[in-house]
Amino acid sequence: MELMGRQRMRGALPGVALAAAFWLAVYVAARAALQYLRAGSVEAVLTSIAPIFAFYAFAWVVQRAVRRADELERLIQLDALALAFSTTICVLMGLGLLDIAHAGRLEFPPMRDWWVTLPALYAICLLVARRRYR
Amino acid sequence: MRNDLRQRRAERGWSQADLADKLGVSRQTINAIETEKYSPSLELAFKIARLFKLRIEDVFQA
Repeated sequence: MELMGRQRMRGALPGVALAAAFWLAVYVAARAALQYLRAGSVEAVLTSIAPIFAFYAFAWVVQRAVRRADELERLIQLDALALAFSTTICVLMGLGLLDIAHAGRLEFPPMRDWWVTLPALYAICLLVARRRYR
Repeated sequence: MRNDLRQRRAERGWSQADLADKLGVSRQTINAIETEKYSPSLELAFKIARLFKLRIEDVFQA
């Protein structure tokens, strides 16, 4: 029997988790390797873009899982992404303006780590979106 | 959108999971429709009406 709606999403979770783990492993390895590679070298540049390809593989797996989901699950995913995207813009914009207002005297996380904001907010917004339809 | 899906389902002795299986959606979707937190697409509304051998307006009321 064909898997239904949320079952299809749940069935896709191991693949999504595996793809996410692969991407994170490549990212962590790249960050570690960059500490030892000569700045500006070809090796450093190739190492820095490797996680991008790993992330696209992860995004492809997620997209495939969402395509298999039923209409409510797709709506929940859209709600979560819209909320996470807009919240991330607000946070990053606010940080940038605060940086200007304090003329660099505020302690911020390094810009290289700001990208974590979007997936972290997406995870939170997904919980919020799910509760709306419970 | 108001509906009496829960009553129709109960008359046939189906659980939410049973109805979800028959319609090809998740139990979460059925629950959200019954609690009127989610209005189904036209396609799903037609599927529901056809399953119960009723007109759409007999199941859903605007």
